[in-house]
Amino acid sequence: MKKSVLLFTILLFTGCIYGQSSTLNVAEILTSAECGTCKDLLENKLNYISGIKYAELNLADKILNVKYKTKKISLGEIRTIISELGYDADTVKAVESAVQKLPLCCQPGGMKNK
Amino acid sequence: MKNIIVTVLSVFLVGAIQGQVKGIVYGSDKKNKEAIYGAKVKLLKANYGAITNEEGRFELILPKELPDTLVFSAMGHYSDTIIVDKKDRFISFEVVLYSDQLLPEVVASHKKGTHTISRLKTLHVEEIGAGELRKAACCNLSESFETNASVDVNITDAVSGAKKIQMMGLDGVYTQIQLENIPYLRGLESSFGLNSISGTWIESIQITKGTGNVVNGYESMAGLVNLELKKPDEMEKIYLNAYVNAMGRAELNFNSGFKLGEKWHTGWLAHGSLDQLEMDYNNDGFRDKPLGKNFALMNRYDYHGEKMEAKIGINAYWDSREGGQVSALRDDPSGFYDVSIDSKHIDVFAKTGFFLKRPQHSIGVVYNAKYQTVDALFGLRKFSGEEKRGYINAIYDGIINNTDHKFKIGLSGVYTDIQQHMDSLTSDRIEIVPGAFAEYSYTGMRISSVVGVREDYHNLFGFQFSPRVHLKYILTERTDLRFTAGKGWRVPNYMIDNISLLATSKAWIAPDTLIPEISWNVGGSIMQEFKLFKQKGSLTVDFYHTRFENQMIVDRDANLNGIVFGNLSGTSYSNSLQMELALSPVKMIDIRFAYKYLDVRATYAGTLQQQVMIPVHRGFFNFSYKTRNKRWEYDFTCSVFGQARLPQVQLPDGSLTNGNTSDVYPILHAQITHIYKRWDFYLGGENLTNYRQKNPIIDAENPFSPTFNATRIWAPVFGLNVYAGIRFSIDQKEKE
Repeated sequence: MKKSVLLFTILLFTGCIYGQSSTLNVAEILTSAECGTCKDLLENKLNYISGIKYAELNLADKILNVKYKTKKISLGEIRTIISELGYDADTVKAVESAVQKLPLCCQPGGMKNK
Repeated sequence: MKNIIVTVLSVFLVGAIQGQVKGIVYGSDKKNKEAIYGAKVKLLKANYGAITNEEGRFELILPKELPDTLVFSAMGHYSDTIIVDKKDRFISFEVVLYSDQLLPEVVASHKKGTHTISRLKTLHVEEIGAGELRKAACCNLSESFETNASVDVNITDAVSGAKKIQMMGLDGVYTQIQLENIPYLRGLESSFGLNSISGTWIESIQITKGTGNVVNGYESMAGLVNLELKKPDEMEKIYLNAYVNAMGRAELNFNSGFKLGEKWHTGWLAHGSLDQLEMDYNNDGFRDKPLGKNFALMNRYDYHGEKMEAKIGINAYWDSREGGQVSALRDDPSGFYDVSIDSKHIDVFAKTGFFLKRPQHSIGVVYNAKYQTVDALFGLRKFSGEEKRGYINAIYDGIINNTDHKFKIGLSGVYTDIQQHMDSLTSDRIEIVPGAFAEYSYTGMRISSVVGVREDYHNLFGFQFSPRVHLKYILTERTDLRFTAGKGWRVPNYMIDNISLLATSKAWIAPDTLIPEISWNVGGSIMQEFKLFKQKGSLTVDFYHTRFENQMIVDRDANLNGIVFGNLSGTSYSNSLQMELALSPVKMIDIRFAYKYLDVRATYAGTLQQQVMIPVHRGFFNFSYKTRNKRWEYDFTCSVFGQARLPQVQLPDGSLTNGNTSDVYPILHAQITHIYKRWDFYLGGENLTNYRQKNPIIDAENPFSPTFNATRIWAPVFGLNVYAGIRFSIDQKEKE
């Protein structure tokens, strides 16, 4: 039984690796995400955008790892989506009206000692 | 006098409303992570805090004014903050502060596992969180334990669909089940009540092995299972779940929580289940599972004021099921074997609390009233029961000098009017049990302990003293040692506790006298955390020995034609050893292995024998994989049940069963969940190898003969089951 589990796991990963074609890109975007809610907001929005394979935010360095199909969506478009959510994306600044709508802890400086 | 009444009437239950935040603060320079001694942890609004100890640990009692901001600061590090809310009560935080030599950003890492053993609690508590509950269909409470190795759910007969939990090889009646710290599923509900709580109502489950603490009652002998339901202020605004399975069961669940003005929140939880498809795959003329319907509805309110808080709730449940012979055989003019069970209950609870002027001191009172009835028919044998119950528990929580020394003292009162009738036997009693308890907790650098005593006075059985002690020793930063010892007791209800034994023609020989069951439990556990493949893993080994001073022994071996109920004369004990290994080879995969050894023996027919129906060895394996984009979840569980002793019974041809041992068998479950924004779609299978016990019913052709027996069941009657469901939820808006 353990062998079949191992086989299943290997097959799963092989499938994942095989699925990657050369039009896939992995990018790192520096965001202004502050807390756990920001992580949920960003990931839940981006993971369902057509063309994005996955989006993972590392709160420690605020970097968002995105894997996407270059033919379906561009890095610039991804940055725009992030800024419209209310977060900075590399050099693209967050849309001010969206920032106001974010919960308290997500506001810039929301996690700092007041 | 008036002040006392006012205080008593408007007091606060600390456990439910006043939460505790605990955690460890680490300092990191990105290469190494080390606990910080002397880091300051402070609540901004409430303006008080704590300092971390040598292990970097801290603990704070949350103020009533929530949400608040927790600020972590340490010299040479960037400070950080986290917002704490009421729901951050059972979560232990791990905070990492970064050295100011490093990055300009600082974060508190907020880690919530799906299946965690809370390292910071003195008692060995296993927590099943929301993530774990999603791994299986979890439509009712019994399914919520499918991915857990500590609690087993067993079918006790082949006809009624009764399900009971089991811990450490001991019957479910020895485990106290609580609903938000209020004793639940006891008395008449012990056999059929597992369906009364829908899995979709549950927020988390805490499992404690051993006698638990003295605060909530005396009945936890093998363990304690506490169910936390969804709270009105945190639950989804709308939650809908529809479920169907190949066995013919269809379920609909609906939850809704919303605000009712400034200080009130309310929640509605509704559940309905219909099972109208008759099945008889093993062709024994009996329904493989009963047809039935059940409905449950709960409405709860939370009030958060400046000086007081209150929770009130009411829940109603109705379950009706019909098993026994298939419809085709019901035209027989000489009669047919019908199994019909009707249970209903109405339950009202309230918790009120009042913060005292002295910080860290509070009083809470819990009230509960319940009315339930159970009517059961097994062929020609009838059971009917009615129970009225009232419960009140008042707890005063305080500290001595600082939060290292905490105490709880309180009073409790239970009133029960329980009437049971079975064929020609009657067992009625009224119980009035006032009690007092005191508990002291010490949290030191390495040692924490909880010592408690309870004294209850039972109107029929006199004084019962129950001491309980729990110790925790932090051996290393990654190793916890725990020890527990204590006494628990309960008054047995031999009829409803063993109702499945009516599914046979054997007569019941009633006990001479009714005396409380008393048990002593001693045990301990070692929990070791380690890092493997850059992920956290843990190994837990626990051992518990439970010895009964008195027990209602159900002897199926003493007399071939009857089941003898009597009080223990001899020895009865249970040894339970469990080893569980949890690891994460890759970030997206969680694997768990567990092995359980049960040695449960009692004096049956004069000799010390293994308890029937308990497999001595049991293995368990759980695998779970979540894709990186969080859209797919795959879960797989495999349980292997070892051999168990079976009672020797008479077969229709007059001979006796030989080789009275069950076979070793596996049960496999798997589920795939697809998450799309607010929707979840899940598809799963239970008992994938289609393992079924052959001929579970002895003499099924002659249900009224003296050898008819549907109680000798040790494996599923129903084979492969496939199910599918949809969940939809909208959360309540975030508070600004």
